[in-house]
Amino acid sequence: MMHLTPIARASGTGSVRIEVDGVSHQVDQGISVAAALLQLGCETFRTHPVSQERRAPYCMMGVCFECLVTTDADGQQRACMLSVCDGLRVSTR
Amino acid sequence: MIDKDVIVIGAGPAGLAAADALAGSGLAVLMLDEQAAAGGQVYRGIDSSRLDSAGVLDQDYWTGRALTQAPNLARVEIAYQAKVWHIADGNQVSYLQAGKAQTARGKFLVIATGARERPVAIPGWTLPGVMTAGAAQIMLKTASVTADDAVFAGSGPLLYLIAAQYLAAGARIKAILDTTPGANYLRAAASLLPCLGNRQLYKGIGMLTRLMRSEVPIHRGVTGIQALGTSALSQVSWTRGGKRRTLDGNALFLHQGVVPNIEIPLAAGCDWVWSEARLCWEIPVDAHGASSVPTVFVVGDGARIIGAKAAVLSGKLAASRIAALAGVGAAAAQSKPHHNPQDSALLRLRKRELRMRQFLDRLYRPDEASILSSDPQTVVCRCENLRIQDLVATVPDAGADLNFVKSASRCGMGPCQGRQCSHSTALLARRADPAQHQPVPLRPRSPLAPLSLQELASYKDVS
Repeated sequence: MMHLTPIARASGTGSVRIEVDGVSHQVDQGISVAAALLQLGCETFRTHPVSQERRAPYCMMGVCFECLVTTDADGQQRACMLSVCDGLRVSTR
Repeated sequence: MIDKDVIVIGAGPAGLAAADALAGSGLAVLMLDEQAAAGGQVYRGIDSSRLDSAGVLDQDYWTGRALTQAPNLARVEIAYQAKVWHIADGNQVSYLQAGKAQTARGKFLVIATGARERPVAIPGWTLPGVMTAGAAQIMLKTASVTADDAVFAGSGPLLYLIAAQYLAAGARIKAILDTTPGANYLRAAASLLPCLGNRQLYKGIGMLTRLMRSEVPIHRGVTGIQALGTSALSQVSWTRGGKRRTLDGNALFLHQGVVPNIEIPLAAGCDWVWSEARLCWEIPVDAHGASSVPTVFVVGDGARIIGAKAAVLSGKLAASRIAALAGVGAAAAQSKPHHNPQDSALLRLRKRELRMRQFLDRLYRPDEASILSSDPQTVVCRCENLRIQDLVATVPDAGADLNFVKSASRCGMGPCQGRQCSHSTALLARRADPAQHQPVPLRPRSPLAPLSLQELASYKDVS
């Protein structure tokens, strides 16, 4: 599984709590939901509706639609185009 | 309905430069962007970056702040996280923002939709762990993270730039697999001489030198890259010098250059052309960005890949022409209203940038087998999970018209609306019939971006 490491010399930032598939996590403020999920070690974002294969973000810029997740705010949304916010509930698969 | 003089779509370098100059001429401007902040992809995260003093991103990146903080932008109405879903009559833009659908009308439209990475249809590219190199850079710029022991594979200046940024950030890179065909170096050599005065050339050479002096293994002349794994990437394999090699890895970043985002220009009615030199569709425009539709200007990489510096110039040149047409600004005061005296300098700089671009285009024209594998199992359309073998039956009858392939196979019918498959399908069509030099792109269908029924129901501007 891809492992992401914070850049040591980056300046600090605040954090927010989000809930992913029922589990609460603390993540950096201001990042996208896709980046947050990848940092948390989430390997599969969705199951492909046709092939049932596991899919995860490919482009991170809103083009590929592979990072679709469900949030409490709305149905299928691109996780790369959505910023994390306190209390956000996300479900994958 | 919102009425403006000009609507600018895209807040990257071209859009920002155009909006700033247009507002400076006294025109009322609305700028729309799908992202949460200005900068486009090249200056992504520029106003919120946590890497200011980290020495990871070079001076060229930080110059982006001059664009996002340009003085006249204060007079521009800017809508971020705005999704454009329909364009009518070359001057009406329907978009969705904060759950609300609305329409804005401008006398002119400046389309600055920039570029996306070229899809790299190789075996296993749908596995979790396989991403674009641009995705790696977006994570670096906006989340200040790097992937451990990543493999970077492909060709093009951006691949080396991102690898160099990874090294500067202290990340370990497992390998760089370079697919640039050897013959490209000879072809490009002829266009090198006119670039010798361009600073970008020396920046590129310096970057490559740093990579070569590092401990990162660089394999050149690589072909046949495959991503292997069951539920996620576990290995990368490739061929070099007739030998097959395999490396364990869980992060593979692919890059084969960038292609213009032509969907919005096409929806606005602009003509298109397929470029054999750059293997992508482009929007024919003049030096001022004027397209085949009189009210529509297409600037920056959205028309043709020209890079961030030339994008800024093209934004300014479009703004100057629009100001002249609207009868405002410096140009209107001249005896020849269509000639702004400042334009000559911009046009000179643009020519210099385009000379550099010709060199880069020749050097990094992708190896066709590296952007579309010959393995029939390779997925072409990610959304509908269609493989080469699913399309070979319909492609020869389609006469290189992707709309026929779509009708027959569903290729390009998923949520990405062909953004990740149409270039590969065009190459398949050319493989089936090499006489097909102008593959017909998919007709853009509204909504140009997925829209929920609830969002559509919020739409009140029905005329």
